Amino acid sequence: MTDSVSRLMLWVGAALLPGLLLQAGFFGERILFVTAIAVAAAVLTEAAALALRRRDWRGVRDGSAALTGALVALALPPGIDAWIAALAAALGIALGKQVYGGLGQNPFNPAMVGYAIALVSFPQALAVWPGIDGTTGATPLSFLDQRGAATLSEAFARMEGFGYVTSRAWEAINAAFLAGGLVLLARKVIRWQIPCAMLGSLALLALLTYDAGSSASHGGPLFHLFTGGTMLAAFFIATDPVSAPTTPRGRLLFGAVVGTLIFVFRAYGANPDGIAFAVLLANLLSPVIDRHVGLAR
Amino acid sequence: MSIDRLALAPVYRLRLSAYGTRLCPVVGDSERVLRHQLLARGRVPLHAPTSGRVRHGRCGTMLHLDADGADAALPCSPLADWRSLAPEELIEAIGAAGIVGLGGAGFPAAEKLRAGCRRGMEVLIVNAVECEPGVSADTALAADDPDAVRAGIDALRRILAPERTLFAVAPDASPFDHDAMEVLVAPEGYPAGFERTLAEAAAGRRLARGEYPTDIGVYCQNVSTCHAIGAALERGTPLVERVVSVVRVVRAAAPARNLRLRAGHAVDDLCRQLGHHGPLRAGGPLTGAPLDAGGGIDKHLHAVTIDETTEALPCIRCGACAEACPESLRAETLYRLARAEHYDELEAAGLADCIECGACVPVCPSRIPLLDVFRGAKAAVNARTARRADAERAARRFAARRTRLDRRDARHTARVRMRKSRAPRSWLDDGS
Repeated sequence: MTDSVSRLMLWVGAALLPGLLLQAGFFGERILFVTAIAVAAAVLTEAAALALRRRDWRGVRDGSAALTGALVALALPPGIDAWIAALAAALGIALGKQVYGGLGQNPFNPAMVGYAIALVSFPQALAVWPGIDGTTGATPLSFLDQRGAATLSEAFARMEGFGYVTSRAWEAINAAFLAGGLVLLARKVIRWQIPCAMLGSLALLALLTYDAGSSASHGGPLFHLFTGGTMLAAFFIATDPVSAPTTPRGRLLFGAVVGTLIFVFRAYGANPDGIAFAVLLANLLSPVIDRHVGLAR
Repeated sequence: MSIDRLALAPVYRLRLSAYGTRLCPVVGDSERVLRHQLLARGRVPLHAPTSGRVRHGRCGTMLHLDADGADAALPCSPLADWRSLAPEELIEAIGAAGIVGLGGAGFPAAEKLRAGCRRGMEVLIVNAVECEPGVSADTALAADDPDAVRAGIDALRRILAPERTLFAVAPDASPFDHDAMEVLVAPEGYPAGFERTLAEAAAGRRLARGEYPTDIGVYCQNVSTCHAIGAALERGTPLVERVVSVVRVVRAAAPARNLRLRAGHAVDDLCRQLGHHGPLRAGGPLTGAPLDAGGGIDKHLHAVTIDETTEALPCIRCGACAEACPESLRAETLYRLARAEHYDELEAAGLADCIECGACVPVCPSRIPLLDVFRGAKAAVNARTARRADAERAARRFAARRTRLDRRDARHTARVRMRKSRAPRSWLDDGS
């Protein structure tokens, strides 16, 4: 059990490293540079905000701003312009955390606030992902969206670098984040309720709507679990303790809501991935869940 | 386990407003007293911890004893043939010796015994499980003076006549020679030394909210209290001294020192002798509350803590405190409500069920002193309730007075009207 906030942040940061390094391996080292810029922007914004609020700016030492910056960078496409990443991180800290009172007071996940602002402001920039079909633009998710009348197996056959259930790159990246997440669980930095409920509900919905991979299918459970930002969200984003409910049962419900919304947004939403808005909408429900879902004796 | 003895303090400060009541001093200002001499009467009699001159405190809430260094004692004689006395006489003797529970709570022993006798106890638990990590006062004393402990246990058995007597020990404790008493091994983990946990272990079920061990026939007495009872009966000494553990908290608790301390030992002198210049906390590393440097050590205090931890960060709502709470309270909710001073919601959220064990304190990553916050909130809630009760009483009295005055005015008006209707209205009126 970790006994200080900064040690918690360090462990989460360490658990992010495998996934980050794999992303750099598959998509280029530029992502490391972008991550560093985002972290710097987040930390500087927090220091400035604390100073403006007449608090001790050295509060950035707790590491929570740095972590937010890193998560924003990981959520954004690897090829994103550094200034957009910096802007997203800065706005996430400023409008998602500091205006509410800083550490421990944010009702919304600050990284997702930053990402959402970027998504709404620069939709084209955020749609550019490193190509897996030989050209830029298509993640496995958007590839499926645009496959026309092909069945799943036909589409996957056409996908370059296809691994077991999705593109090799994304499988590996998600597996790396899963490993990091399991380490966090073992160290009791996060608790199992949110990741399990989120992954469970996502997989369940994918399973229920799975029709053996027809042309209308949205993808099977394993595909969804190992594609896009699923594992990153499950273990690093949705688990932000401040914006999530505090009781075990409340967290199960919260995780289930996030997982359900992710599937719905992926299947029927305009954007290929739906994590940011799923998390933000679930954050809206946190206070209600906390009030009515209690601890068992 | 050795027990050290500190040098006598230059002054001993003894509280008169204690145990929810005010004790009445029986010695005058500037009077010379000897150790063991009775200083004050009341719910729990107070005795002099050493010889010296007594000074009355300014507000009547404290007695100061300036030690003369000679430590001369009033001669004490054992209570003759106490093993054949009736329970009520034994309880009287225990009360007269000023004995309170020495497990940390300090409840008057004689009152608890009387209540236990009235209800009828089936199980007596002698609690030798240290109540907090780092504290070893009880085991040190039990090993040092087992005869007095045994005498105390015999006295309790005579008073309560329980069917079973259990000797509760920690899972990793070295055995105490308890001559064929049944041993109860306390459950692992904190707060195993609390009487609630031990009563549940003995009864085999959880206590309901608001239910006490004595409600189910289980009487729990700390082993140091048994020692005090035994010493009072066998040697005639009232409670003026006990073994106190000094615990250091610097992220990980180091083994404690055990000291024999007299009641009322001045806190600033204790700090000086321990070589510590910062604040001292009364109690163990988990239940400790801040100690006033201008005060004295209470006679029931089982430990003092030297706490060197740093400032708290904001709460990040991780829920570790709720996970640690043995009463399954939502500690993070209680914390937020307490900080926001939403007292109505605090009562509904179960603040009164908090047993102040402090298990929530070491697990908080933001190092928030949760127990201090909850204690403060309880005090505020109590003050508020008392103010409300006063206000209601005043309102009732005002309403009653209003009614009385209105009635009197109405009678007066009626009388005047009657008088007027009889008397002629003017010299022209002939009454028709």
